Formats: sequence, C-alpha cells, structure tokens
Amino acid sequence: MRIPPGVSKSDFQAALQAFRDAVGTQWVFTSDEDLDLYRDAYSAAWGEPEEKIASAAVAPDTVEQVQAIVRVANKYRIPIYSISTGRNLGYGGSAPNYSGSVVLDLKRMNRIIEVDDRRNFCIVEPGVSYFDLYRHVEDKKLNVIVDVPDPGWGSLIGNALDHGRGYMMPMYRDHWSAHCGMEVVLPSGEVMRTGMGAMPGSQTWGEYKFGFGPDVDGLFSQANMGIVTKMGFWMMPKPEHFFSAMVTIPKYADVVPFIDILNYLEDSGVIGHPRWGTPLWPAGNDADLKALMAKPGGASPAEYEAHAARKGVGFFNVTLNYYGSQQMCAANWEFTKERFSIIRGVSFKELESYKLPMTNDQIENMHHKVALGVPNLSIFSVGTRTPSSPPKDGLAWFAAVIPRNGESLIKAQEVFAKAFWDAGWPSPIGPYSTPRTWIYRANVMLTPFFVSRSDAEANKKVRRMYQRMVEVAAENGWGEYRAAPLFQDIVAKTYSYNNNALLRFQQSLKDTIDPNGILAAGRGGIWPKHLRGGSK
Amino acid sequence: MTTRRSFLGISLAGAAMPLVPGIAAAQSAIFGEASLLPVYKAVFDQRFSESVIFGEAFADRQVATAGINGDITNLWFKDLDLRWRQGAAMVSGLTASGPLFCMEQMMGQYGLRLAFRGEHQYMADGSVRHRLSGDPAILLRAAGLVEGGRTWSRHLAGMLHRLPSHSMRPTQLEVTTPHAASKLPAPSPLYSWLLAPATRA
Repeated sequence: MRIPPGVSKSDFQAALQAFRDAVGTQWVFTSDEDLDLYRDAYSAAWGEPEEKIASAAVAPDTVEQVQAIVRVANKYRIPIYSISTGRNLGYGGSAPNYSGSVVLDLKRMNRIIEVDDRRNFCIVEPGVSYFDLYRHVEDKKLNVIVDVPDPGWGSLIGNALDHGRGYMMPMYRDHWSAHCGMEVVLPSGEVMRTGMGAMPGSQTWGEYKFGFGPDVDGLFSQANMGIVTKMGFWMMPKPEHFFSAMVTIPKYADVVPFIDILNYLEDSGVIGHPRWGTPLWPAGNDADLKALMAKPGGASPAEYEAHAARKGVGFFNVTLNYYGSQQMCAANWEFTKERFSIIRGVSFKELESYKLPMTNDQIENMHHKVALGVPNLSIFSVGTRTPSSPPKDGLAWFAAVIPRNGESLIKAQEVFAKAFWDAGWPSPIGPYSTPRTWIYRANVMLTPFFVSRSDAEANKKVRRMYQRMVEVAAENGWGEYRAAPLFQDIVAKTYSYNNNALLRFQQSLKDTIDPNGILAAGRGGIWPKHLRGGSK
Repeated sequence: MTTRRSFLGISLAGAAMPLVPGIAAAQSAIFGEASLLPVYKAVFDQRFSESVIFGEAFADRQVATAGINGDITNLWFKDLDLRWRQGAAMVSGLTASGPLFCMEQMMGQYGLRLAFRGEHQYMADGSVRHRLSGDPAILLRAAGLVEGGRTWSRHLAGMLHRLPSHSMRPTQLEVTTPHAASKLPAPSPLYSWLLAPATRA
C-alpha cells in the first residue's frame, strides 16, 4: 500500500474507509494498476524517485461528496490533489505536485449546467471536456462556438485554471479570461461561489464576472486555495462566415514591423489568432536546411535568408483568421493587406472561405479545425512513422512569455539558442523560431523538452537544461506562464520582486485558508507551512 | 450505472515469458469457442500497406473495419465514444503510435483494458521485430508471425480477432519475421493493440 508522507498507516486506512463511505467503495482506487492511470504520461522523471505519484484516488460525483472528502482529508491530514480530466499533457497530466497525495478525480462531475446561445455563455462542471461541450452544442444546434485547445480532450475548467489557451478571438481563446464566476469547495469543506454566482438566485452568473468587491477568482487558478466544482465561460457566437489568409515576409528583419502591424490588427479587433509559420522549420528532408540547423553555434539569420531566397520562399508567415459576415471578412482582409503593404516584398495568399454552417466535408478538409472550435486529436498523428521523427515518450513544455515586438523575438532567439549551445545541446531554437500568440497581449517562446520512459539519464539532463532555461529567461525578464509540477517551484521562485513578496503573500493566504495544508500542496509553488523549506 | 471497473481500465503489466513453439499447437484445446469475445471494430491506417492488409484480414472474418489516415479523432468521436458509452466493446488496431496513445489515455473511462500491445519494427535487413505483450491466449498464436513474410500483419489479425472471455495474467515475448521487406531505411514502428472489457463476462 502506498501511504502519503507524514500519515500513519492506520490513519490512512481510516481515511480510505471514510472516503469509501462518502463516495462508494467502487470509486476509491488503491491498487498499483489503478494508480498507474494517474501517472503523468509525459513525466520527465518516469520511474525515478523524483516522479510524482499518487497514493490513492477518489472519484466523487457531487459537490456534497467533494465536501465530505475534504472534511476527511482535514481530519486525518491527508494531502489531496484535484484533477478535472487529467489530460494536461506537457504540464503535468494527472500527477500531483506532492508525491503521495490522494488524487481527487473530478471526471465523474461532467454535467453541462447551462448553455445560453442568446447571451453566449455556458456553465459546466470540471469533468466536462471540450469534446463533450462541442457534442452538446452541435446536437442541440446552438448558435455558439466552443473555443478549444489542441488536443480537445481536456476539461474546460481544468484548462482555464491552468491558464490554457485556444485559437479564436482574443477574449475567448484566453480561457481563464473567458471564465465568468465559479463555485469552489474551500479547504474547510465549505462551498463558496464567486462573481455573480455569489448572489443567491443570481440571473447573471455567466455574464458579469466581478460581482461586488475584490475579485478572488485568481486565487484558484494555478493555485491550491480551493477545488473548483462549477465555472461559467463566455462563448463566441457562431459567425456567418469564416475566412483565412496568409501573409508572408521575405526578410528576417521584417519581423519588427510585422509584429507591430499584427498587434494593431488584433488589438483593434480586426483579426483572430495570428498563427505563425515558417518554411525554414522543420527541416524535413532538406539537407541544406539540416546542415544550417546543425551548424555549431547556430547559423545566422543571413544564412537562413539566403537559403530562403534560393528556395524562393519567405522567411516568416502568419495565417490570419476572420470571423463575421462575408462582407466584414472581405473588408478586414483588404484593410490587413493595406497595413502590411509597407513591408517591401510582402506577399498575400487567400486560404479558406466558408459560409457557416459548414458541411462535414468542409470541416474534414479544414486546415486548422480549432480555428472554428472543432476539437480533435490530430496533434497525436503529427510526425508519426517517418525516419526523421521517431516516436518519443512525451515532452515537457518550456513556455517563456516575451514582449510582443520583433526586437524581443530576435533577442529571445539569440539568448535561448546561446543557452543551449553553451550547455552542449544542439539548439532547437534559431532565427527560424516563431512565437506562440495565444496570449493575445504577449508572445510565448515555446520549446518542447522531449522525455523518455526508458532513459533516466536523458531525463536528468532534460531537467537540468529546463532549469537553466528558466534561469536564463528570468535573467532577461521573461517568465514562464505555465509549467509541470516538477518545475513549478523553480518557476515560482523567479517571480521574486521585493524579496518574493508575491509568494509570501500567497503563503499567508494559504496558511489562513488551508491551515492543515491538505489541498494540492506545492501547486503554483505554494507549499503549506508544514512542508515549506526542507521539510517536504 | 457506471461501475468502479467501468470507470478505470486496468493497465497492461506482466513478466516476460519466452515463446515455446510446442505450446502453440495446444492453443486450440485450451479455450472453448463459446467463451470467445468478438471484436466490434478493427482499425487500420490507410497509409500503410501492412495496416491495410490487417484490416482486410478482419473484413474477411466479417468484422467491421475503419480506416484512418493517422488521426483517430473522427472514428473515436463519431463511433467508438458513442459505442463505448453503451458498454465496453473490443476494438483492435494496427496503427502508428499516436492513435494507440490516445486509446491508452482514454480507455479507463470506458471500462476497457489493453489486452494486447505489439510493437512492429522494421529492421535494416528487411526483417520485422515484433515485441508483444498481452493475454497469453493471444501470444500462443504468435508463432505464425515468424512464417508470415510480407503479409505478417494478416496473421496478426488472426491473433487478435477474438479473445477468451476469461483473462489471464499478461506475458511478453519477442519474435522476428524474416524477409518481410526490401532493405530500406526503417520507418518508425507500427503498433498493434486490442482493447477489451476490463470486466469479463
């Protein structure tokens, strides 16, 4: 039997029995076979002592059962860790921060409480996945779109709480910003509602976020101050038309005006998510490009520009999405071209144009389905079964937030590439590296660190290099927006202004709200008092 | 009502056991036909000839098949998810790694387990190395892979199109199909799999 640290066997057995009494014996899991399902499938410490594993799992079906579990946890000082659908791959999956915690699996709480397609919102439970809501909306022919991430099997609540993102208009693809009111089980076992949900009989839970007084919702995201059991989300109405087009720039230095123009267009509401690309990555079977990427110390932008010129391709491109009436899409595209025309040699290409509702064939052939809220698993079929891309066992995402300008992109490419080369790693970052733009007021330099289920030494190197990247980013004023539990402590420590005033503030709240330190210890770098310092 | 066992699947585990050719001849005497579970659907990837042959072999046995192009989304969302919500049903496949990963991640919520998993790697000399793990009742039939040649996946389908209704502790073995292909740069492996109910009848 696996037992949480600091808990006696007799207390743990008593707690497990109390869990069974609360939810039913069949919903309490303790066997190794059962608990293997709660391992992080992409762990960078697979099979090592550092791997985060659960001691048990409990799956409630109602808020009342969640409350009962929390009370039991308090009584016996059992560390618990809540998950929604547990599909946060690359950022920790379903494994707890504090190894030995009991996982509180909320997947059975999968009710869609309400979807309103006149006021454009929904209210859901944590076990509702993007696929679930999409099926609900399509089956009932509701006039709203679900903004989905890639892949679409995750939980709306889980994704939002970890600051996950999608691919449509700014206010919807920032899933945390799109949330509106929540219900939370506090570490005391009490139920609290926020925003307009805090008013009994509220008519506007899914519409107005802030209720009255301090907005406390942020305390429950990437944190451990409560267990979210309901959440509202603003949803986008289905547009009449969808149009996409590509803008390509020929020169590396064009990236400066390029990003300025993108900022203007997006912040003015003209375009949706600008999805970057480049013909210079991946190298595929291009031997010349492979040679450039393998050049010790990295090839220069000029060398990549020369390669692009020889191939007759541009340096960077961006796919832009437009939503609205057909006339609106056309007008916004014309305006877009007018703005980009100041860049010498810029080229434009129209990609897709669909009148909604689309046919099944149109959806099937769509280049990027998530741009219209169609969830899918196609990301798992990318790069499979070719000699140049052998299957890997998963990855840990390194995701540094950088300013939304070309100068910072250039600097980040140089700084991160140098960090890799200095550490003896062939750099996966170079002048061809594009920013991720889901955070619509900042850019993200996203880099995968591939992990192995059979090579512990390789994983150790990954962890060391990841830590180095966190340090390098912080030295340049760039912080990570999200990280797997293995890395959350080192990331949290970089937000250290004024002697870690933020973390000290969070710890003060934690000590007051969760005095027994039972809930998600370590999440967001926030540890309860009895586990702070070297006592973990 | 969803049961405990239909909420969680059981992950694959087992100790290695070498293939003893003599045992293969005894397989048909071990389990009666009446207790065999049928396969609801066989999944093949239209991009890979071995996988197409696998699908054809199931079709020859009157098992419904579904062809994908690497992406299992539509098959799962429009077919398997809806079928599995009604109850666990066996599904087999020979695909690249992505679809298998998706199935492994989701099988628990439907009360399914991975009764068989195979990794089929082309080697530089044109042979195929098969690393198999799963129910011994399936592995007992693996000897035929050795003689399979270029149509080894047809024999593989024969191994996976039915499963005894009572489970046994999983085992592992490795066999090789010689002369399966011309000497070419080896692509990444294909993966065979069989999802079966975690609770047997």
